[in-house]
Amino acid sequence: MSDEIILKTKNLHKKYAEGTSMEVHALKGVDIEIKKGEMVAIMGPSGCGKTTLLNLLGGIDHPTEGTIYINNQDINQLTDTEVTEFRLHNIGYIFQLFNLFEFLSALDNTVLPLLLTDITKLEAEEEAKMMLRQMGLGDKIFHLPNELSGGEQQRVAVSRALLMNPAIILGDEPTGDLDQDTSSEIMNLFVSINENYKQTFLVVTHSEHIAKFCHRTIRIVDGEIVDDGKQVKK
Amino acid sequence: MSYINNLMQKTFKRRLGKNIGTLIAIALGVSLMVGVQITITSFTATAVDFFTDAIGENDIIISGFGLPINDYESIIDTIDNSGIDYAAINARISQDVAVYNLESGDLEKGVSFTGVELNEDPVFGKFYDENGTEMRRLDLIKLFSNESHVLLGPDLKDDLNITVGSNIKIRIGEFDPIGLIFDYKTYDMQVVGFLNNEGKGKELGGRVIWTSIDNIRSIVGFAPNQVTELNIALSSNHDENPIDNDYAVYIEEQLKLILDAENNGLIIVAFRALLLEVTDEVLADVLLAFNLFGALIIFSGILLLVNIQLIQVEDRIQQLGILRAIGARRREIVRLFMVESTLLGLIGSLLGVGGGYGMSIFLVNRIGKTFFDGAIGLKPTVTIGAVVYSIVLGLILAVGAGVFPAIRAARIDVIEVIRGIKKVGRKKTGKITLGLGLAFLLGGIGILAAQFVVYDSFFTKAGWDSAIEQWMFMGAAAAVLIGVSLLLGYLFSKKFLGNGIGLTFIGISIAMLIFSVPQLKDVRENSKILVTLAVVLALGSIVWVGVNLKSVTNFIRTVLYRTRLKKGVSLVSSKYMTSKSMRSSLTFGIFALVLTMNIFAAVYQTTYSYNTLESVEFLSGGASIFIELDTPITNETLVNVEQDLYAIDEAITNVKGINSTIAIIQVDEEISELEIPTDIFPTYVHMIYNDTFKEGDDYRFDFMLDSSIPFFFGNYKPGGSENYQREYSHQIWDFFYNRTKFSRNGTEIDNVEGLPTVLTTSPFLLPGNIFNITSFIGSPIEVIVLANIRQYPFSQAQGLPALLITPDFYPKLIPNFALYPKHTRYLVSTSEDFKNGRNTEIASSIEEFFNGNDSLLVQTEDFVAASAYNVWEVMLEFVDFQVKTFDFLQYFVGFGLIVGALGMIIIAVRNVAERRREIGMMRAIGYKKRQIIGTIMIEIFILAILGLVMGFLNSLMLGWAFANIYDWSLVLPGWRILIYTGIMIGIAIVASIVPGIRASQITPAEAIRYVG
Repeated sequence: MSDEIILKTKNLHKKYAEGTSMEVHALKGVDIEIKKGEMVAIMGPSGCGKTTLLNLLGGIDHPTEGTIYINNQDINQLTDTEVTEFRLHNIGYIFQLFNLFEFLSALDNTVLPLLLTDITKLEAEEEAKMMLRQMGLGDKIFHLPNELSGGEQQRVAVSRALLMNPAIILGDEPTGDLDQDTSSEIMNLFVSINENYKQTFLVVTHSEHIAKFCHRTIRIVDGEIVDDGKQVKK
Repeated sequence: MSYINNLMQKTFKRRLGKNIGTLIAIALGVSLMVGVQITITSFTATAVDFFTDAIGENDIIISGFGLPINDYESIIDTIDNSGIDYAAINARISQDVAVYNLESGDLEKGVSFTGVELNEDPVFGKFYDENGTEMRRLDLIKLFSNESHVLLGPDLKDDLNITVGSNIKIRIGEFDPIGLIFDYKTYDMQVVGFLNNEGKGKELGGRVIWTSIDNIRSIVGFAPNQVTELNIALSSNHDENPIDNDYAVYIEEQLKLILDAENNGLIIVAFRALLLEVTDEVLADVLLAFNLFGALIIFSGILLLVNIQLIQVEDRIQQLGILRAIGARRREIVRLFMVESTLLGLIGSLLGVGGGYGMSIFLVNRIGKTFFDGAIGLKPTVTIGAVVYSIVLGLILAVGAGVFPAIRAARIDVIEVIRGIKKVGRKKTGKITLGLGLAFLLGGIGILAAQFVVYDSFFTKAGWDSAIEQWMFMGAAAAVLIGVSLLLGYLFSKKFLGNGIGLTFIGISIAMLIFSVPQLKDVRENSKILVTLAVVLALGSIVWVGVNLKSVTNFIRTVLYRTRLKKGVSLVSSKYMTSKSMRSSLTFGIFALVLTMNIFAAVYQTTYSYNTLESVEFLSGGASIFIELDTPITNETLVNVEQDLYAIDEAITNVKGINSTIAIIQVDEEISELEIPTDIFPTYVHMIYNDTFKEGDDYRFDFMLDSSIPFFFGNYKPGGSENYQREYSHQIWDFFYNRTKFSRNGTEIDNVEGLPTVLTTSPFLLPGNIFNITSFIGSPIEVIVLANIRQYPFSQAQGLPALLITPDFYPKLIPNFALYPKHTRYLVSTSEDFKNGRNTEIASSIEEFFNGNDSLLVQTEDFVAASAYNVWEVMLEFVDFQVKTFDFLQYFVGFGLIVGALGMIIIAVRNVAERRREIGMMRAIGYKKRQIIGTIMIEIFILAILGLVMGFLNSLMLGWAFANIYDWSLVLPGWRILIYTGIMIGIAIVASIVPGIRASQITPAEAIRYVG
């Protein structure tokens, strides 16, 4: 882990249905700093704003107020096209429900982000295959998602997220749909990637078991950080 | 159970937007079904009314075929005493006359001078004055109290520029080929008023000069007991008490027997029944086109409906899994979908009936304007059958497409459904397929065996004499091939089954279109087969391409990878299409059908136009003006006439006179196709001079000839290149001019014992036929038909067929013909453009030349009635009905296009709505908005392109078949094909860009959480 701050938020607010009787103040002035190579868990009860925070950090939703810096870039200042391009190159997403395209093979699902760049298809596929092999899916690269187990599907999602060598990988309950053994297997994978490639992870979870795999745990309650987890794990 | 009902209600409300989209799509689909049926029914009913209204309530006409009927009152007595029940009977005297307006100098020939009984029963049509007020009998008595007073139909009023009080001359009589005399009498008359021809029974009265029967009898010198026709109405109101055609024909036969028609020279015809049959014949082409395009439109409606229902259900498979997980039984789930689909299907179908009615109001209005000059206020004819059929079909399709996927889905693993995992389907088919395969195979073989036993043939020309044989073969061959496909599906894979069925449908339809249809020229017989083949061809190609969609999209993807598009865009769109192959197939199927309709309509129209109109100049040898005289010009003036005609307009480049007379043809057997089967019938004989068409090597009027006796071009087909046709025709002309004789079987030249040749326009006298021609005063001449000439003006000889004979026949046919060489026809060519030049103006000058030229009045009484026709305009009039049909077809298929386009947009929008989650994922991965739009657009575009290619090929195949049926050469309208293709691409753009933009605006954060 280096001292370089890779992600920083300042006074982040998010309100839904603002100005209506249904208004929800999901995030209330969240300040976070995450260093490069850090592995951080965000914990909190359901509805506390964890996923909202993740969506804001990933640039797929806009804050009502506040700033988000990733790799020193204020992503709120970017246009939609720029933030999308930024996301492609800097952010990897892993979802609870894997969010794989059911009609694409493991290889096609993995290679997708690379195919949005100028790299040739052959090169892209070679890289994706290499990634899948590293994930232990070398014999299943042409399988469709419905032919893979939950853990295997999530490893495909991880491969897809890693392929672009992003600045940070955001995981939204990445093991929420998996049993404990498989969850541990996936988290160990994250740890190994983190250690080997200094890959930064920010994982939303409500499982203490999962949080223990991370260097730090930020706790959110009712849209506010109650503990920024300064106790750093070894 | 109540929770299911509760859930159903809530779901229905929550998905209101989507449900409305589904409803609209179902309504559009059903609209097409209803609209097409109502329009076709209305057209038929209107056309039949239009034609039959013209004759009032008349059922049977008794005439003397141009000669007076003697003692007509005793004929009426005989009918009265026979017990034949009739509503009314009348007697009339009609004479064909030429009319000359002394004041304006205008002339018309071929006008009917008709005398009616003043107490004639009104069922034969009331008299209305030109303001539309019914005339009383007293008015008529007063008007006709002077023998020279006449009333005129409105067309004559206009054509002759007549006003009340105008003095006219009428001339009665014609050339008598037996006596070789021109027996004319001219009478001075005065016009005292005009009649309107819009009343029932009077619609044919536009070119009639009306008087009382007593006046005309006195004028033409008929005895008091003579008339020219008797009309019998079997019902006084056919709308309320219709007379069955068969009954009318039965009465016709009875009358022939009772009146001893043959010996008394009476022609008795069940005129209304005949008219209905002729109407049927006239409508056959049009109805074939309507039914064919209607079937394709209905088919596209079906695809639209099934497509939207599949989307509706697939969208909710996960909800279905949840229901199963919480304990809902399968039958409850199926019930839920059944109720929902029924509700949507029923409401959509009812809306569709409304939409279809609206569509038919527009189209029926167009029918009135297009076909009947807006003269009749048309209302759509709604039959309960069409409405019930459409609602039931709409309902069955909506429920079927909604419930079957639900039943399938209800069977799969609950966990898999909840987790959105699709079970991998079996690659092979089950035992039911095996059983079905064997049943189809054996059934097909059985039918083929039956066909062989009954008709002694499977697939030979000899065994293809009737439609039933074609149906049998088509059904049997399809059954065998489908049986084999099912067995292959059982033994190997479903892909074999799909390919087998697709290729069977394509193969059967193409084989039938190539081998079978051209042999059955009866369009009415063929129409059902053609309609079926068109739909089967379309269905087969959709199935086949659908089954192979993966290979097709792999190929397209490889191509797209080479473009500047991001590969991620191409990958997702093409793979998505393959994953939803059924829906994708339905989508490109709609594109294909809509394009098939439009291109086929264009090919049909241009092929028809070329073969009937565009080719007229070429086929008619450049004769741009044709002159018909009712009075021949004598030989002494002949030279001068030709010379003088050149002087009329400097654009006239060639003039040739032809002698025409009437002779009798006698064949060996009765011709049953004629209305009155007979072995003797009159014909116009055009006596062609040695230099009429050809001077030296110069073909001055280079008429093209149709099929000939086998000696020539054994396998010659009309059409082909102009050079090919010219070479063929010149050979025939040379044989004709050289008086070459042919052996009786027509296969070799035999100038010693062979038969002389004639050219004929008759559809009953085909190349190789042998018959006698006689004028009764000369010796009969046995001749052989060398070839058919079907081109105007010879094809238009006042209802009689025409023969072209060489000059050496004249003295034999008419011994003293040399004394009477008279021209009654002239061919004129001009340097003006055939279609757009001043030929009408020149024709008009020619008419003036004849009609006002005193020097021509050598043996005519006071005037020569000449008609000079602009050949192009005559042809336009000749094909007017068909041209109108094509005009209307544009609206017809245009509706298919509009509704298809709307349906496509709804489907595309719904498709995107269903994929919110995927689109959110794509956005999360890093797809830019324009890449999302690109993904959606490419998908629709690929489907559109597939549809375009398929539609193009199918329409070419159908166009080719049509050309074959009519022996036409196929003409492709390049520009129009491009325009329709452009329109379809435009539709694809609209249908993709709207949902594409909507998709790009989906917020990824919300979309990812979207569960449908």
